[in-house]
Amino acid sequence: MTDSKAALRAFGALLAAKGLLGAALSSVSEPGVVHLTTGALCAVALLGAARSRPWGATAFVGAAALTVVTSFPHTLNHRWFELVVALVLWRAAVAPVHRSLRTVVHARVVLQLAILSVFFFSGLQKIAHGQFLSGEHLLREMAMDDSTMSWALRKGASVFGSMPSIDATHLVFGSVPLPISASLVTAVRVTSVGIVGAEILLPLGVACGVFGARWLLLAAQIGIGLVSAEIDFALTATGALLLLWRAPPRAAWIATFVGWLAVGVVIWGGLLP
Amino acid sequence: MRAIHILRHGPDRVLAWVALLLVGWPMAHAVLVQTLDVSSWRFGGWGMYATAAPRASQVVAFVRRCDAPTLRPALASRGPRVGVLDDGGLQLGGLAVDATGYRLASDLAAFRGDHHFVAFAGWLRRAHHVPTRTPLALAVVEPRVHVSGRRAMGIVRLAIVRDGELILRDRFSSSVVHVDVVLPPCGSTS
Repeated sequence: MTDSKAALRAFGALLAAKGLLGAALSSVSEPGVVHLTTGALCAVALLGAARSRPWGATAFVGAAALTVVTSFPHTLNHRWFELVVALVLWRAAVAPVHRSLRTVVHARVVLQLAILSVFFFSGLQKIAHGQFLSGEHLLREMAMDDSTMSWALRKGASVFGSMPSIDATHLVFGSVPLPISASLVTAVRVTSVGIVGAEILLPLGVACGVFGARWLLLAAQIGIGLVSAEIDFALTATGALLLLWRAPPRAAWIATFVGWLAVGVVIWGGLLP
Repeated sequence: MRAIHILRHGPDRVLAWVALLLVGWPMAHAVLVQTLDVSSWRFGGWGMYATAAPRASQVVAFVRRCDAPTLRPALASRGPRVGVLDDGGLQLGGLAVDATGYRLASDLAAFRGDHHFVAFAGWLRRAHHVPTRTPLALAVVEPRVHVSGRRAMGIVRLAIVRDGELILRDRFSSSVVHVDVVLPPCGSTS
């Protein structure tokens, strides 16, 4: 139980530190009372997590809710995810003493369900809509050539052939033939199927206790995070995945924070597209 | 098995509801995306990357040739990102719309329903001072890469809006979109 409680506290501290950093950066680029309030709440949450005080978890719920409310209805999915996580951490923190042990275990299982749900349903939605599974989505991302993801995909697929760039304005009056090699199309299709398969099967494997599934899921998250450059979500998700282990060492939490921060600096600093 | 037992018989009722939400909402969200054109990228349904990411610059508005001379100066003066398109042969009065200030259709829902076109036309008139009576043809371009044919296909949804009402909506994926054909002729009332 102590392990579970420590893990929840470490996760809370990780999210609070990320929120504090994000609010600080946002305050510089776009000064406003919302970022200041969010930053202050995250600072309180970080202090509370460090001192094992329930008001820290309460402050983090406030920060997460404020972010969702002020960005609604355009709220990004990882903000909803953080709100769910904040609610769970808060319930564990404020549980009455007589049922504290069981609530902490309950909260940890719900957090595991949360991260598995993100992977599993992402895969199912990709099947439901069809664009991703056919390879069309990744090819389109490569062709539009306007993001880190596009750059990473082009680099990765360069052994199978080059991908021409297109622009939305070129397509207004009709279709443009694309000289794409058959091997590139095949490679992208196989990759797309592989990604969807991993998103669905790995969470199921973790839920069923398959040996090594949690390591593969962690590796998949790191890979997807690097390619998509979704640093904010990758940091949260990697932290959530650490909860799949009973007692993640403190070094793992620190490495998660510092590692993704370093990737963010590389991308935001313009060293990568 | 133990995890399922904890989820079902855990001590905290709020956590139980959260767990139920984590399983139920993504499924409901997928249905909403299919039936109501809700964006798969929003509202916490974990459908990011399942559909093409919304790109606000893909809306192009056209006006009739007779309306273009009076509109072009005003439209062209709205900023460097608002340009005037000219297809050469047809000399259409058209403008590439900077739609970054308009997020409702492109960000929260797929640009498919009639109300999306009407709402966008209303925003466009206010943003670019286009008179209500001037018919607007809106071409919403959805860039697709047609894998089997190895072609980049501009799937175009076209609509004409006037007086706050949609008077024509169609979908083109052919090589040429003849906008002047579907716009009402100059001087006509319908």
